[in-house]
Amino acid sequence: MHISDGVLSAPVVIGGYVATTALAGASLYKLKPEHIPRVAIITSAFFVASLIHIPLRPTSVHLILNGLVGMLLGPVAFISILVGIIFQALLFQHGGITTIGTNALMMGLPAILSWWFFSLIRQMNVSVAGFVGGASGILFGVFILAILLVTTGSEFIGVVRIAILAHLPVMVIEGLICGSVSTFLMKVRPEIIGCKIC
Amino acid sequence: MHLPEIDRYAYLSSVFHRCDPRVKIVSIGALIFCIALSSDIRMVSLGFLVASFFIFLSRLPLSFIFIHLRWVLVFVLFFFLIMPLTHHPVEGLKLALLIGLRAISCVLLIFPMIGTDRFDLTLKALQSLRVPNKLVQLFMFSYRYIFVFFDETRRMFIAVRAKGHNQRLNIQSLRIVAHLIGMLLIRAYERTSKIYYAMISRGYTGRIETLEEFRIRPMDVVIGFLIVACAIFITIGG
Repeated sequence: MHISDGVLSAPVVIGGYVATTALAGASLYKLKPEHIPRVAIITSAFFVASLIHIPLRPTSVHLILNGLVGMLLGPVAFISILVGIIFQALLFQHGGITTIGTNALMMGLPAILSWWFFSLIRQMNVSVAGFVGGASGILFGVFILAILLVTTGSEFIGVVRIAILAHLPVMVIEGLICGSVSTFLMKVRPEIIGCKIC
Repeated sequence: MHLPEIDRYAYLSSVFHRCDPRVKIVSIGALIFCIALSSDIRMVSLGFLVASFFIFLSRLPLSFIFIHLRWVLVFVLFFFLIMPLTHHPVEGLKLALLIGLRAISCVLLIFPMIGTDRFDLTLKALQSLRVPNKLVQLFMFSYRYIFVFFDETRRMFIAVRAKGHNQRLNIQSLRIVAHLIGMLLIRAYERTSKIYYAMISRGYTGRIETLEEFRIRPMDVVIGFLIVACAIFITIGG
């Protein structure tokens, strides 16, 4: 889920950059130098994991996993997602340079929410917490996408409706995958999931 | 899955390959913003022509460019299909055309901007443009390990396929993918604990040091000035 260059209006683009700079600045400031490799390497693992395609007839969808980044890294997830978004724009031409700010908000804010939901529910049931965390990552992402497009212009309402519909199956797949990943991690290495990294 | 090799043709020689990376990032970056935010179709078309001309000047193979255009073409096609149906038919097409031209021009400009330098030199240029050092380090480490995990993921998928796994959309298949991702994360996590100290003990300070020092030649100033003039013209011409 990315917005390419050339869709959003100037105020939305600038607003996205301002908000992202503020959030990224705060997370960078809090990030200790010895944690940089950890955040970076988990970022690249997620970058590669998001290249995995799941067949969904008649096409296929790729995983987004922003919820899972949140569950693994906590609030620092924002900076990890920002790096991922910049790489996707520069290396794959997926997304765009002018929309780095808005795309980072669209994926990064839900990641922080996912972390919050996950740590709230994990005591009860890890699979359910993982599902909620993964699905809410997409749900809030689509929600922010809708706000950004509608703020740019009312002519995008049709596009917003279709984007929401298209992301419903993605949300379910993502929830199932994240639920399963968190159960797996809980069995194998419980210390790496759901804790704040720094 | 394919590898992100934006700098595969960084060894070629052209006007852009010889230009200082800092000049390219600042001037072409400004041009990208001006095209993306312009709402005059004539100015955006001019931007598209400029972008195509830059691709021609950069001498990058067209097949390489087309592979990277896939995503943005799908995106533009989506707008061409949806906008006329959900919005006013003629106005919708006009808007889709405007969005499409802007999106494609911006993507094309990424190639002369960073496709004409080795990626480590681009990062060094960002460092000397005062991008926060922690962010540059994050870029550097992530970029390096993308390739490591890419190979690892490919090996894992070959292994499960050899055992009869067939990627479908059912719970069983999703669970296998989830376990592979879980394994990938555990391996990533285990690597991280030692890397930083290993780097420190080898004298790592967090700064990128390369043998090549950047130097802005008079020619670079001229190129940068021309590109920025183009950006200004696109903004105020409309």
